[in-house]
Amino acid sequence: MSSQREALLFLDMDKGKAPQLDEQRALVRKDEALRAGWFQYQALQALALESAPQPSERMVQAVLAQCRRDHVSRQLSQLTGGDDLAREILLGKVPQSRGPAAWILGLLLLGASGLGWSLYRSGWLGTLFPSMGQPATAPSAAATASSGPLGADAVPFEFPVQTPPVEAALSQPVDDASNPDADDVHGESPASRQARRLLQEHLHEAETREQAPDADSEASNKDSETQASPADTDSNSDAESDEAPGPAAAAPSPKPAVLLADLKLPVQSAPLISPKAVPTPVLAQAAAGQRLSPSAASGAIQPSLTLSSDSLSSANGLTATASGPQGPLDVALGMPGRTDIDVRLFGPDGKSTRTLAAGAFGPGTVHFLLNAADDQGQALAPGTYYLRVMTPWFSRVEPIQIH
Amino acid sequence: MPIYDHTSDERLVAAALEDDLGAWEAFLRRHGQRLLAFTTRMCGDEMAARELWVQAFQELWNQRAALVRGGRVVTSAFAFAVGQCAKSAQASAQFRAKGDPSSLEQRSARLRQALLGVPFRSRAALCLCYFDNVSFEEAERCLNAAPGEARQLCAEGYEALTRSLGPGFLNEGLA
Repeated sequence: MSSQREALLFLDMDKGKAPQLDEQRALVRKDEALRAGWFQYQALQALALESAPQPSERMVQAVLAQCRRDHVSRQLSQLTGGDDLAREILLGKVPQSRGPAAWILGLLLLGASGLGWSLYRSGWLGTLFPSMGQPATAPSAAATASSGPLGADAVPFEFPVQTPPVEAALSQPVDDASNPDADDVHGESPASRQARRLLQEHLHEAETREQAPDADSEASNKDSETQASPADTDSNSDAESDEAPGPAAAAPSPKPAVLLADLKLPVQSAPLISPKAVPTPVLAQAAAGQRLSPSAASGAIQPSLTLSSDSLSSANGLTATASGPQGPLDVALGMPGRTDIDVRLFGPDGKSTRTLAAGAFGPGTVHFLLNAADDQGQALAPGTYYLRVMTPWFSRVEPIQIH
Repeated sequence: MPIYDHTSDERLVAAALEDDLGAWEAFLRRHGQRLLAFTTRMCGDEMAARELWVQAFQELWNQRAALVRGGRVVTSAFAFAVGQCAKSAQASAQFRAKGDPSSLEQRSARLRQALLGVPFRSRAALCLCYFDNVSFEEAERCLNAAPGEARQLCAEGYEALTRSLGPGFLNEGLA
């Protein structure tokens, strides 16, 4: 029997369950040559199975980290409608523009310092002010006190420039909320900064997980790759699932993982402009732009965001993305508990133009009215604005057209 | 992921389509070793196979909608892995024989070296049907082959493999 036919026979015996194969199996048992071939066939199979590599936990986590990044990225796109600027606003990445005055001042300072350095190097400064015109030969890490009460002939006394110890640097407050100037991109409230920081931390969570394994784990990677057992992987996955927040963990918390649950929460968003939207009586009595008190706040309120146009009030020229009746926008926030929220309008340049809410509200449904005016009451220029709502339960950016 | 132990592959991938990362992790852990073994046999180089495995599962996540378009999900995953291996065909890995020739490592290395000498489609059929117990029909789906072709490819591959290994391969080094 040729080896080709032998291979076909073995393959059929291996895969097939037809009755005629029983005869062939009996034939193999009787034929010495075939029996040796059959043993080799099975032995090679066993050898290949025995030496099959195992995927390491690091490989699994690398794949999952990429999947998480993709998942969060798509959710962000969903939240922001694929608008890059809205995404940047949500993440708080739009740099604050200092304006042309800041640029001019910066250039002047740069020029002045350059001029001063040139004069110092050339020695002109020494001729004008003898006490200042020392040649720049001193080591940079030490300050030389050669001019003093002892005169120029005295032995220079060098004292090292003190640098703050690492411990002191680490003990500096790092909490953005405790430092009003830190990372104050849009002049945001502490609540807004905290929410933004949580979101950013969550976005980088996947990357940090990937970078977490240190050199030791690198070295032991090979071992773990070959020794990973299903029990290990199960325990790891259990630990992960314990860390993953459920819906019950949606309360305000400094843990970045809360945002993962937040992003999963179904945020109900009605069409921005609905001709059938009927304003509530409370809303109809309020002046445009006035903050309203929370309405009935009992029962199981789900975190929600609803935008609708108040067709009764008008004359401020604010509409949503779709064409519809004009009027102030009613921003209704359903909040299960009292917590800090931040509702802000950003301009086409990404700068904050209007703060609707920055502080503690809830529980219940809270309404805010948005008209086409900034914080100073000036009419907003036409263009695409972005309404950013940040709560511990969800974050959202909605583009709004102002005509 | 004990909660997914009794969940079918199809349901896991359907849940992953709804962005259920836990379901995707369960699917990955369930078939990760099979796919890694397949890519290792196909590539020859274990490190390259591991990189390929990571890339394959990341691409599978991106194209997970295509996994549920008919047939078994795991077959689609293998089909994807075949495509990935074809793209990065690395048949240049050399395995040096060191130490005891009867050791498992050395026999395994020689087996991989011999596999690299088998033509690509025959090697893929052999790895799927012979080493991984995939049915001929599923292997034909993976290889986009005609009905009955997988069986023939597999037989040709096995013949080439045994010829390359030689008749005394299993007895070499044994007392």
